[in-house]
Parts: sequence; C-alpha cells; structure tokens
Amino acid sequence: MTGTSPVEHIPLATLVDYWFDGLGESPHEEHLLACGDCSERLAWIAGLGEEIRDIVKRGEAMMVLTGGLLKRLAAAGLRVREYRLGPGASVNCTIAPADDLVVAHLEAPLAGVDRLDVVSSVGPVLHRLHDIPFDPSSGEVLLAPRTRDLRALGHATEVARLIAVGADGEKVIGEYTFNHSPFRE
Amino acid sequence: MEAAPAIDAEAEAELYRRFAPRVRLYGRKHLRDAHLAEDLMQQVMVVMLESLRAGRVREPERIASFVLSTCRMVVMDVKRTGARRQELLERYGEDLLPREVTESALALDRERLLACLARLAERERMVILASFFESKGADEVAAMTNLASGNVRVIRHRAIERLRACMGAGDRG
Repeated sequence: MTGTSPVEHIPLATLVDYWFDGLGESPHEEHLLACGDCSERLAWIAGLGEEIRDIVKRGEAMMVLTGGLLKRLAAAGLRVREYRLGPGASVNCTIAPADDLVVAHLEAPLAGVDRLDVVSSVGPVLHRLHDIPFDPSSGEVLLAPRTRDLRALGHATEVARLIAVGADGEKVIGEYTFNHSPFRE
Repeated sequence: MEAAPAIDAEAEAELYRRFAPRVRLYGRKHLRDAHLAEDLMQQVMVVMLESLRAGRVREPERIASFVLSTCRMVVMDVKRTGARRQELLERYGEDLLPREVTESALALDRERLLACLARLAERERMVILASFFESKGADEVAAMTNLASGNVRVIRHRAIERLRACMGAGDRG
C-alpha cells in the first residue's frame, strides 16, 4: 500500500500552512502518516527549507530585505557588512572573507511611492528588479547582492537607481554608486 | 483484546521503511530540530514494532492511527529530554553532538533551485526566504516584511507552487 484509497490528497497550500503555522495537533496528521504521496510532498517542503536556510546563510541569493528581516538575520549570527548611501552618494565598498552578507541601505524619499524598481549596472550590463518590497515609512531600501557575485567582482563600479513607477510614468528618485574593490587586510 | 496477526521480518522492514521517514518529518514539524526528530523516530519505531509483535495493536489495518498516537505521546517526552540536552550542550558545547543528522532524502539541485528562486517575483522571494530561514509562521513573517498575514500565506502558497513547477517536482492538489 503506497497511500490511501481514493481519499482526496491534501492540497499543497494546506501542506504549506501546516508546515509553518503552529505546533499544535492537526487533523491532517494521520493522513500524512498513511499517505505516501502527501508525505512526500511535505518532505519536499521540508527539504526546500533546509536548502533555503543554507542559501540565506551563504548569501547565495540576491535579497531585498526589510529592516525587520535584517534584524532576524543578524540575530541568527550572520555577519553583515552594511553601507548607507543617500541619493547621489558614492561609497568605497568590499566584502571580507568573514562576511556572510553585504547590505546596502539606499536612502530615498519613498513617501507616496506605490511601486519601486531597482536598475543596477556594472559596466554595460544592466539588471532590473521589478516591484520590490519596501517600507515607505522607513525611507530606505535594503539590498543584499549575492555574495558569490561580490567576491568575484574585483575592481568595479556599480550604479544603482531607484525608480518610482506610477500611472504617469517612471521617475528616478535616487542614484547610488558603489566603488567595489577586493578585500585587503 | 483481539491478538494481532503474527508479523514477519519482511513486513516489519516494510513498516519501518514506510513510517520512519514520515515520523521523522512529524518530528521536524513539531520539534524543529533534526536531532530531536531522530530521537522521536527511533522511539516511535521501537514502540510500533514491539507493540505489533506483542499483539497490542488492536487494529493493525489502522497502524497510522496507532503511530500518530505514539508520536504525540513521545513528542512530549522528547521535548523534556531535549530541554535537558540543550542544557548539556550549553554547558559542555557542541562537541557532544553526534555527527550531523542527514535529514532530507529528497536532495534538491542547488543550482536549479537558485535559478528558480531568481525567477520569483521580489515579494515572493522575500516571503520564501523569511519563512524558511527560521521556519516562521505567517504572523511573524508579516511582522518582519510589513505585509498582512493573509498576504504572506497567499504569496507563500504561490511561490512554493512556482518553485515546485520550476524544479520539476510535479504536483497534485
């Protein structure tokens, strides 16, 4: 027997909620012990969680953060290097071998902004992040590039632009320059 | 009490193969610790097999129900033991821990996962990373990300569906 007879399987959304929310008993648990298909999907979710925890700890994914999330990462023991820039500013930056994450705080006038994109360029290469999450009241956007990209960067200048997107078009609300160089002791 | 039919070694092995990973998963969910989940699995498997051999399982065809009841009882015990283990760890250090428990039998392709994560919308990726990093519920992720709890759930569902499709995991439900 590999699972239940024609009982409906647990929807994926329900499995996701079960995995994350609450430590109390759930009416699905007997089915999860009896059904190979549903337990396999739950195991996939658990496996995804392990991979993502490791990805975050190693800075392997580009992340747009909030202040609250950054605090959790730091509280969990990640070594975070931070740079703060106002519009039009530039900074000399690097990444040390011991750094787990590098976070750029891009200060900007965010009041009244509904949607925000980020366009970054290193030389001729452009990259655009669409509709990033942000807290208008914080007055800043937090970006954490992939650490493997930073470590491979060498000497380079990156320019990031915050673009407010609205019904009447796009407007650059801040431009920030990062002069990156390899870490030196 | 009606005696359970005799159970042979092959049937025991099959029951172990079927239930051990599922009980371990139950432990990961309720104990949020791979070592404690392993403890739980071992204890529950012992109880299950001994009970079957001794004819103490009243309805062998509903073995999942029996296993679940056992899990719930043992979880309470393991939590108490876990508290003592944590005390010892804090006093004597991580050297006392056995080798890292390899939890997931479903190893995911890291590079493919990274590519799939990059394809998520920014908000989806943030919710996924925030949710999984410390296995936080919707309310806590909402507080961290300035989103409403209901939004977090919807975004999380959608993002995980997309990741499964992108990873080729297939789906039902």
